[in-house]
Amino acid sequence: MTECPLTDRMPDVAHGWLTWTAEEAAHLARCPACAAEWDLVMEAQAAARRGPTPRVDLEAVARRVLLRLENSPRESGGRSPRRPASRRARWIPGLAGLAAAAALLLMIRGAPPARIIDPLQVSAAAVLAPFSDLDDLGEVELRELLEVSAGRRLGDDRLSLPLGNGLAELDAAALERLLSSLEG
Amino acid sequence: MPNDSPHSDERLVQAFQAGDDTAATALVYRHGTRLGRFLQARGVPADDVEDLVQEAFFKAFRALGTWRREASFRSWLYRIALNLGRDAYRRRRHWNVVDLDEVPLAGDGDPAGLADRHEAEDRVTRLLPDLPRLQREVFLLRAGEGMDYAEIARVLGTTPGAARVHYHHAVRRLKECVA
Repeated sequence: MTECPLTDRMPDVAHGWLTWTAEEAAHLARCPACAAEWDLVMEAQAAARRGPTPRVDLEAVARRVLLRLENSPRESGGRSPRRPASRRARWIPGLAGLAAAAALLLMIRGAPPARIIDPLQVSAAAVLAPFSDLDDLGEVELRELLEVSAGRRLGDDRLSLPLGNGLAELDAAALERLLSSLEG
Repeated sequence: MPNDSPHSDERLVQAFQAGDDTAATALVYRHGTRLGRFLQARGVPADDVEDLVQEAFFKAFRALGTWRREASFRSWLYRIALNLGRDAYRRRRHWNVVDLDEVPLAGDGDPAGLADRHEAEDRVTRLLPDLPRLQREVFLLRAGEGMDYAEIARVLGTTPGAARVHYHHAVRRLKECVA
């Protein structure tokens, strides 16, 4: 295949990233094959530039992309979706309350003494430990996690806790009623 | 062309990964319109272009960890967009592949210079559909978009050497046609 000696540089020159040397410019001026090819490249570049411009709202695209990234799970090595720092803090009281309720329930139900859980030892950190990446979970996922966690720790499939309001927000009487209902 | 300036794609990507959302916005502004044109020229309906551009950026940003830096961000983005376009086309068969002859030129309302512009650009747009697909794609990416062979190879899933061969075949055929 015979090639124009300038072929590989033409697109870069057409886009302004390179310039012809004096020698190349002289060759281009006297070589009809190169001149014809140069015209084609320039035409293609012009056609690409002047082609129909689609309606793309770049500001809206950027805004929506960033919003979706905030709410999507990360892939390997990608940037972590950023969560408000207060999100975990908002759930910690609920988790701590849940842990305390779980321990209390076990004691009320007469679990063997060796297995009694001291509520003070069931800290929020202990509950959170298996889920070190809670920041990546959405609200729905956190709710599901709480429900699974509650069911698993209490070993009771019937358990249905008012997670929407958070155990930490229940007063003593409400908590007592809840525990009584769980006791049957 | 890759470069090390503070506003190069690579630097912007690094800034975004470090938490700077404005870097992502800058990348969208830098590549969004041309990417949209690239998709539209490949048959994506105008009304769907913005959605595909958004999806391409979303996927690209989300999977930055898988981006091998020997390829440019642009070629990686275009490859994602091209794959999205193909997937969407398979799902929505009613899409019409736009014939390059039918693509209107921007600024058609200007009568002065219109004939000259048509004469020059129509040669390319008229001849390109006759080229084999890969030759046409490579020529458009190289001559139209200014990508180098390594970038083109990434976009089209081939090798730089094969891209170079396709380009030279395309040029030779185009030159034969206009001779």
